[in-house]
Order: sequence, then C-alpha cells, then structure tokens
Amino acid sequence: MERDRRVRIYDAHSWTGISLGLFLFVVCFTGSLAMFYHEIKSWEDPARRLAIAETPVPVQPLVDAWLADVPANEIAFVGVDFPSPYEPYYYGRFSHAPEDGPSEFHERRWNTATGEVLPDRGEGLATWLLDFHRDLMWPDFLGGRQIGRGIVGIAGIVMLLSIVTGILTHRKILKEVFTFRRQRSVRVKWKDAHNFLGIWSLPFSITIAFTGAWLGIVALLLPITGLLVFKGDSDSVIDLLTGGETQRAQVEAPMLSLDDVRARPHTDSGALPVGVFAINWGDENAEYTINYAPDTELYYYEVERISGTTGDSLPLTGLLEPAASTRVIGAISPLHYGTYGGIALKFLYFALGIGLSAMVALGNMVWIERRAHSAEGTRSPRFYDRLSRLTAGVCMGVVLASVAIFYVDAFYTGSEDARIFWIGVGYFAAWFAALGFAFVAANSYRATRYLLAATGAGLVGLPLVSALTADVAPWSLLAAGHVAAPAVDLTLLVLGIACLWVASRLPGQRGGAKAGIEQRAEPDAGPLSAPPNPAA
Amino acid sequence: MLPWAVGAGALLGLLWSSWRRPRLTASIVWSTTATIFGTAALTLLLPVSLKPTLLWMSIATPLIWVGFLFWCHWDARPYRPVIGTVLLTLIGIAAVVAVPPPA
Repeated sequence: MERDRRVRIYDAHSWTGISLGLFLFVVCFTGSLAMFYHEIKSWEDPARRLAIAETPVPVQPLVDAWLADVPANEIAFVGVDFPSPYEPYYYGRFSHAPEDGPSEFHERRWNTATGEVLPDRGEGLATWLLDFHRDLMWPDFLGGRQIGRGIVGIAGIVMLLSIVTGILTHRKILKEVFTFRRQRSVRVKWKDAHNFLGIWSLPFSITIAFTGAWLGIVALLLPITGLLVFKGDSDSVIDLLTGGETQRAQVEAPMLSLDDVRARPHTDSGALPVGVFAINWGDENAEYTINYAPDTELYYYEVERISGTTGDSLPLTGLLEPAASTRVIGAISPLHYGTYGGIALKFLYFALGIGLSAMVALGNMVWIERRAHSAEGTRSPRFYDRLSRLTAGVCMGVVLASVAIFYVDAFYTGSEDARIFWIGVGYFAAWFAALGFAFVAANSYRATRYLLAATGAGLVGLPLVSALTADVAPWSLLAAGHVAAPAVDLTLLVLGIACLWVASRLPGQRGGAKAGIEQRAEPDAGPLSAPPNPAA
Repeated sequence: MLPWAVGAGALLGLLWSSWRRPRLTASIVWSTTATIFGTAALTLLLPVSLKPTLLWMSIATPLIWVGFLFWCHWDARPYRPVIGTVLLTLIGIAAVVAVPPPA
C-alpha cells in the first residue's frame, strides 16, 4: 500500500479512536457486564431464589383472577412466562388499552408452590447494566430510548471501521501476534498490548461490532427504510414485518387454558413451552404465540402460533416466518450476548469484552503518550495531561460506578418504582466522583491506580454485603440448587482480588519520571515508520 | 419561510463543508444518506419479494455504511467519495420518489 494511503487509513483509525474511543470503551465495558443480566438479577432479587414447586399450582385461575376486573376487549395483550431456573415463578403481564385513555402496562409474579402474589420488585441493578449498554438509558426529553439505541449502534459502525483500518495499518500483523516487549518503555508496552489484544480478539471484535451495529442502528434505520419504501405508510411497514395482526371478531369465547398450553410440546422437538403471548384475549379470534427453547442455541425461541380458543395450529407470519433472513436475524442477538454456549461461553465473552475495552483504552493512551512525549505532539503538555486524566477518569470511572451500584441496590430501601432512578443517581455520582478525582490526583497513572484499587476493594466487599442483606445463606441457596447468586458473589470476590493485585503492580507515575525528570521518548517502529529500503 | 431559510442554510453549509473537508463531510453526512436512500432504492428496485429483500438489506446495512466510510479514506482523490455518495443519495431519492410503493 502506498504511503499516502497508509497515512490516511492510519489517521482514520487514530482519529476515530481518539474522538470516540471513550464512548467505545463505555459501550464495550458495559456490554461485558450486560451479558450476566440473569445472574446479576438472581443476586439482587430474592424472588429469583425461590424453589420451583415440584407440582406447581395451575396458572390459569391466577391470571383469570388478575384480569377479572378488566373488560376483555380492552386487553391489548397478555403474556405469561412459565417458571425456569432463572425465574422460578409465574410471571404475567398485560396491557390495558381503554378506549378513552392511555394504555397501562401491568405485571405480576406468583409463587409456583402457593399461588401467592410475590412482592413487586422495581427494575434495578441488572436492568441498569443491561439498558445502559443497550440505549444509554437515553432520556425521553432527548428523544427516548430508541435514539440511545441508535447512538450505541453507531459505536458498532465506528468499531467496524476501526477494525478494518486497524488491520490495514499494521503491516507486520503476524509478527505482532506474538510480540509483547515487557522491558521497553510504557508506550511500547501499551502499543504491544493494544496490537496483541486487537489481533487475538479479532473474530470476537468483528462479531460484536457487526451484531451490535445491527441491533442498534437497524432499530432506527429499518423503520426509516420501510417508510421510504412505502411512502410514509407506517401501517404497511408494520403489516409487512409482523404479518398483519388478526382483528377481534367481537364474539366472546372462552380461552384455551394456559395450563393446557404449558403442557403442549413443540411439534418437532417435543420441548415444553417457556412462555406464551396472547392477543384478542377472550375473543373468538384469540391467538397464542407459544415460545419454546430453541432446537439450536443460536436462536432465542422456537415459536408456534395457535388459536387461543380451539388450539388449532396457525401459520407463522412476519418475522416469525421460517426463512433464511429471519433465521439470520434471530441469531444476531444470541451472537451478541453470548447466550448460545452456557456460562463458560459467557465468561469467555466477558474476558474478550474486557480485553476489547482495554484495547480501546490502550489505543487512546498510546495516542496521547506519543504526542505528549515526542515531537509529534503539536499541543501544549497541559492539553495532553488533561486528555490523559480524562481517559483515566472516564474509563476507570465507569468501572467504579458499575461496582458502586451493587451497593446502591443492596442498601436501597425506598419505593420500588424509584429504584432504577436511584441506581442511576448512584451510577453517575460515582462516575463523576471518579472523574473529578482523576483531575485532582497527582497524575493520571496514580488516578488509574487508586481508582482500580477502590474498584477492587468495592468488589471484595460485595459478598459480605450480600451475606448481610440476603434473607438466605449462600450454602442454603446452593443446597436448594440456586447456583447463580453465590456464583456472582464468588466471581465478584475473585475479580476484586484481581483488581487489587493489578493495582498494586501499576506504577504511580510515568516510568523514570521522578522529580520532574521526564523519561526520554523511546523510538518504536510505528505503523507509519518508513519501510526498509530494499536497495540498502 | 423560516424552514426554507434553515434548509437553504443547511444545504449551503453542507456544500461548503463538502468543499473544505470532503472526506470528513462524506464520512459523517453523505455516507449516511447514501446508505439510507441506497438501501431503500435497492429494496424497491430489486425484482424479488419485498420482505426478504428488506430484511437482507437491513442485515447488509452496517456493512454498506462501513464500506462507504472506508471508501472516504481509501480513495486517493478526496472529492470522489463526496461525488459518489451524493450521487447515490440523489439516485436513491429519485427511485424512492418515482417508483410506486409495493401493493
């Protein structure tokens, strides 16, 4: 590749990194935690640690009693999830859409052994971690969550571009696979680590970037494209994608029992349903869409559609229709969240996700270091110092904030409706505190070290908090077969010890930079260094 | 009057930035519009069933977008990506306006 082109590609790589690298770090790091939504939910929510009854009470009477006061023709949909190891209760939800008012969403959980209604639990820690990754909890007054989702999707596009430009920038990519010069300057070490992590995690990075971009931007762009194709007719777009919704016949009819639906095996696999979704409740045209565990893990659900009154099978339509395109789309989310290979795969995804985050941060630090301590920098030393502190504060701040909200959730005693709000307050308070600390610390090295140590201490303390606040001891949970919550405690403890160990190994200042004596910039063969002259 | 003035001002601003910073403007603005209108036009024009085309286009959208972004930095001539993406946008708009919506 000619030198001018290489410079342009390198500039595209480095400028996308330095302008959007911190945002990419936040998206990658929060994504690494978001994968453990169900496990963290088990840690925070006592209802998820109940035992599933060997002979559960029927669910139909519970739902009937719940819906008794609502006119059937005002029920937009009813959904029921059957008990599972992660959600060991019946979970029901319905939307009440009165003709003369706004729609209301209702949800309820029942104990499978007694049929008692379980106490409400507001969305909290796990939801924040997942949704902050998915849509940044983007506020309604700025356009709502859909906008946030699109912005996160753009991070996927930027990452794809960075991957392509990064590959082309590195001429000695095979050599860099095995290069890590520990005894060299901090810049060379960071650069080697950036390259090493980037190359080894390449298939993972491409997968995550593509699937993340699709999940984010398609939520915005698919409706736009559909509206352009149909000249603004949004109903036609919805009909095309959903297959068109069956209308109510306005003839009352008894619903097929949810307990019968629960016992209805999948036609091909014989698997039992994990949940059901009903429309036109109590009407002759009622329909059930039944979700089954998939026959391949690279898919969320197998689906069957039946009449809600007779149980006759109905054809699948819209995005549920079996086709190559819908199969590919169905695989995108499991690929992104690593749900297709059990807990071991999730830990692999976690390690690779943290590696990806570190690679992004290291790329920024190399860029700053290269300019702060060589002739390449055109701005003042103070500018690069602030940039370095900003990088340390944002990156370590989001890590610390993610730990801080475990404490907020554990000690929260207010209204369940406000739980998620206070989780958010705790998150941003810890994040801004870390950012402030990064700017008042002696230097960005020390800030990173202390913030990592604080994170480690916070993680180590969490199992203790869990033991103090939980209603059931960890060994009792294990005896009852609930592994998730004790496993989260153990993982937090191990991660905490690892953070403390790494923090103890980190330098408190730039290597050799004592009493104002700056380390001399060490030359390294960067991607733009002149190629060897074959004639020489 | 005000919307027209704002629109005209935005268009002039885009033309000016396309002249002054062709790669940057093509990356941020024209690659996005070319992706949106290009995929919509392809969905309308390809002689195959609409739903699978729309879904496959949605799957390809991230790759198409990144392809345009990459081209903005790959091409040796700075104005070629601008002209290309603007032309694709205009062709896409023309197709969307001219081709009747599917039945």
